[in-house]
Amino acid sequence: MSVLRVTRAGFLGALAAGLVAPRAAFGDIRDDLRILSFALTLEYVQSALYRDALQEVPGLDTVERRAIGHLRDNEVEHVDALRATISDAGGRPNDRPRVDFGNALSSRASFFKLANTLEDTAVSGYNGAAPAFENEDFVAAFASIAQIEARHSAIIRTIRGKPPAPLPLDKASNQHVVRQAYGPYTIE
Amino acid sequence: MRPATPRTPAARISRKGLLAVAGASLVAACGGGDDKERERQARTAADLEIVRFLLGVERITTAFWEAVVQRGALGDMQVAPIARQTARNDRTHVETLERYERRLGTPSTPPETPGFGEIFAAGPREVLESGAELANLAAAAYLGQANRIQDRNLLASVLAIHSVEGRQAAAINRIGRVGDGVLPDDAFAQPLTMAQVRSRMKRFGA
Repeated sequence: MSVLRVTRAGFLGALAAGLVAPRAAFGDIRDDLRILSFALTLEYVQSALYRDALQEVPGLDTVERRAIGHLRDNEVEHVDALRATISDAGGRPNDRPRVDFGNALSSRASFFKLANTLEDTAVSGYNGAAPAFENEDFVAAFASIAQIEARHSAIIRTIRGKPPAPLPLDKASNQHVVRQAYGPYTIE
Repeated sequence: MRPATPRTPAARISRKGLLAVAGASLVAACGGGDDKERERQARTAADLEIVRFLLGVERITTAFWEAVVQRGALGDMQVAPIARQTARNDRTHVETLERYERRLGTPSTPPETPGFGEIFAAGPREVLESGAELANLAAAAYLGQANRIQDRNLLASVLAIHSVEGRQAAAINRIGRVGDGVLPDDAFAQPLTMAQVRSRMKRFGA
């Protein structure tokens, strides 16, 4: 059972309470669903990146392949949890986008550079979006995933010989900025 | 798996709960101003408690990493540069939280800096493992408060620090080979309540 699914229990409790409360009190769930759908897209792309990397990137050593496998498994769990949460909140999970990482998977260095960029952007996207949630259970669940994305970034950065936490406070980005970073790798 | 949201009903003032209070205060025309003021005070008090708690955590982690750097307690281990960066980052976190504390209420007096004598006496490996424990505790402490914060600006700052704590913990875990593998972290970060954090930080002089 995922964290989001456990947290979802609290959400369903709130919905149950809503059956006897004015419906309008839960109108803001639509905005929360939009944020969850935004995150789901990021997780789709990330899980695809690590899946494809294991098949295509040349020159990865055993330790790196093991790390990438862990990262892929984490992202798949995030996808599953977000899809379940969106469904349980009354929404329809967005479809998995087609992806094309171009030449980024042609070398070890270009793959890790792209993974670094996408992980850092995901952290900033989660941090930027979370304060907008009305349902505070979603804030906690989102932060739980954001911390893992930050840990992913740190691991990739250490593999690249870069500082894992270069700023004392991570950036927060709006959805437009994040979509610009992820857009080149998704096919409409 | 434990829930992401630590349930502490006695202490928890949710954003929804306070909004409900605010709504009720609008309905009650008489004395509405008093209700709004009480709601504002409740929000401020709740946030101040969180800021002071996180400030306590950061002061200890900052003292620890600054002592590690000053004493060269990790020798020439690969993690030493990360210790320096962590000390700098955590010092900024203290300053950020102190600003919020001044904004919300009266500044608290920093407690005496712990010495960490037993940890340093036990050698670099113990220093590293204790540092990893502190870093992971800090990340869990922030996560445990995320859904209790009333002010969205404070929440944004706390989230921005929280993910940095996660970065630091992951890097120390990995480079220090703390834990049992290449990636010792699971798919979902786990929160800790204030009581859980305080209990686990006692050995660091908290």
